[in-house]
Amino acid sequence: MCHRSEDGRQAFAAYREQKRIAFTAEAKIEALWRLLLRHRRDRILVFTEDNDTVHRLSRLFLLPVITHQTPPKERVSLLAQFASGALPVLLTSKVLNEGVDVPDANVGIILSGSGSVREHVQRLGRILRKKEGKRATLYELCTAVAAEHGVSERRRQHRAYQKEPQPRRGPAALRPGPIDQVPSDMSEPTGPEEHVPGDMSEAPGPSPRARGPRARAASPAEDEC
Amino acid sequence: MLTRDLLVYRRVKGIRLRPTFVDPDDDDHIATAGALIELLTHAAGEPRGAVDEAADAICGEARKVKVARGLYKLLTDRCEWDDPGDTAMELRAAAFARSAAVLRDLSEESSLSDYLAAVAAGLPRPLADVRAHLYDDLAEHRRLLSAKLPSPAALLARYNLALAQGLVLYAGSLDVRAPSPGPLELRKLLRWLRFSRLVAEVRRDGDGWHLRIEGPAAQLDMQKKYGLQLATFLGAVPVLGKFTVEADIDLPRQPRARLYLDHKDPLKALDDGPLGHIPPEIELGMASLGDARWTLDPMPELRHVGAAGMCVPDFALRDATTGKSVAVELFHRWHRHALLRRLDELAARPDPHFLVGVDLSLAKDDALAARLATAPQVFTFNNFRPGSAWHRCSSRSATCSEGQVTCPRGHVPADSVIRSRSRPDRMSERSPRRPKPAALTCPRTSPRSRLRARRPVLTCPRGHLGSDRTALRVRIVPP
Repeated sequence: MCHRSEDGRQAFAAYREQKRIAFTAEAKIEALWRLLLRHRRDRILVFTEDNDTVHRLSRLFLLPVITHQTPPKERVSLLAQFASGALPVLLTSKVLNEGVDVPDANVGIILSGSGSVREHVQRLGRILRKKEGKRATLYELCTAVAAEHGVSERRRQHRAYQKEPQPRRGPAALRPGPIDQVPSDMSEPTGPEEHVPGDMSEAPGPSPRARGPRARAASPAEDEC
Repeated sequence: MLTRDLLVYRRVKGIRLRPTFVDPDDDDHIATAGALIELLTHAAGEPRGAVDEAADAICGEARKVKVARGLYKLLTDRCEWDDPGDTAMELRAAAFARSAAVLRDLSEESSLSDYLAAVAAGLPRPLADVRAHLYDDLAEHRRLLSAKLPSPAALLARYNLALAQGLVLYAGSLDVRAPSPGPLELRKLLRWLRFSRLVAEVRRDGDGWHLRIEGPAAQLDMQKKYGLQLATFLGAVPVLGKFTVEADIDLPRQPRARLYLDHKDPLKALDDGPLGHIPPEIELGMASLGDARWTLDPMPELRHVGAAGMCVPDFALRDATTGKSVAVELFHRWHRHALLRRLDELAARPDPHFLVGVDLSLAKDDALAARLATAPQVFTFNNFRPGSAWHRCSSRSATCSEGQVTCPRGHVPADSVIRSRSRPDRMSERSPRRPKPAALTCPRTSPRSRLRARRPVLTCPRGHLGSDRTALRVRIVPP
């Protein structure tokens, strides 16, 4: 099938639509709302994969957004208000992944992202900025029984997410493989996980592969710094 | 201008760069260009996101997708989109402040609808309206107001030029050689050189001319702006009948290469119109001057400066009463070395009908400021906006025209005597056109050491020599 034929274009459009549905599943939005409520007095950074999602969330919750399209003046203002506590939540796609110091952020919610380990660790690093008495929590929401689940597994192949410290792996070992080829040492959840199904109960759920298309919130990296 | 991802070029033998020009008579390209122009012709009032989506479909069907995307980019550069201003930003600020306050006071059992109802109660507009206009300032939501659309053939010609311009943005240097240009064409090119404010060296090369221009890669700052100006200048080169262009290209993450262009390439000049383009800033400045005595001459004669240099003044001011004109050359922040060279040349060979305008940012440098303070015929400007810079320029021109000598504080010698080391009659014998530099000094206060100096030394009766950055207003009267 040629990507320039009508069929090819339709197939690509269907692929993008499938990704969009997985990234912004209703259960995810519901889970995000519960997490926002739970941490309403903290400083929360919400990460998404694309700008469309982040703008959609902003329109839904009327929460502030920082993307590459945000005017510099507004960006400075939003970061200052976030630091002072006037704004408890910032939604972003990738622009806050790296290079921006937001030491006051102590809760990170990854709503969607790529399979890049580097990106995931960078996002974790946003909330692990040192501050006295700070306890940082990272949540990852992903749709079970979807390609996104495998992507989530891939991007957590880093020692920051291991329960026991692992020897440092070389770049080749970190290179992500096909989605359905989860390494044997990653078949079981590796860190302390918190499963939040549709009813948002905090009881651990079954294995991620056995669950239906519901949102899963995990906190693999909950650390005190 | 094309962005780097839209440039199409190939490397010959690893080092030679050749843009992959399109055939302006190719039916497929003409059809694609026509479809894109047709799309934008009927897209007035449509949001940019929708227009881009429709253009994507056209580009996807083109035989060369990258070429089609480049054509669309050039077309959108000619479009004007509406600007909602700060309205959307203000709306967001109000909405986010309200939502933060509400979120903090909620209980953990609150529902989303409770939250939204509480937020909506404190918003300046209905919730649905706020949501609809929250991001009106995003590019994809801006609506097309108007577009200056070319014909398909003109668009393809512009595309070919843009391919070369896109590479020149990464040039370290650019050499233009014209074997035997006509005087009008050469003049137009040199005018563009000045208007583009480039750092260049112009030389006679037998019967032809050789222009060596510094590229943005050789600049320490303002690279993007300088690169755009160089690319704009390249658009004027095809006015020369025959030419060759060579440039060192330093593309990011690629080995250095050399670009070769000549008149056989399908390059068409940006402006085929008559001579006499005047930059809007200069037109505005003259309008703001409001002085009927001075008229703007946008095409002054080329001037010889120094031993072998050639100068193309930016403009000239013609005195309506005497008919004399004073040429003005402007030096911007990237012209530091060129300015120093010009000051040396003027010191060695003063030109009484020549003024040097210096960007204030250059005068911030102490060493250069001291140099400017002792140099005659200098005035400063800041972006050459209408205002004081124009008045300084015209007042300098007036003194050039009238032959007065004053100090920066306005002290005119009581006896109005200007003593010159060189007698006028001897000067006229040596060189009637270019008088030897004369040392002018105030008769009351000049030290003898000043008189011995080679450069013109200017003081006033009260000794205000170089006490501020402005130079003495002086005219060295030719015999």
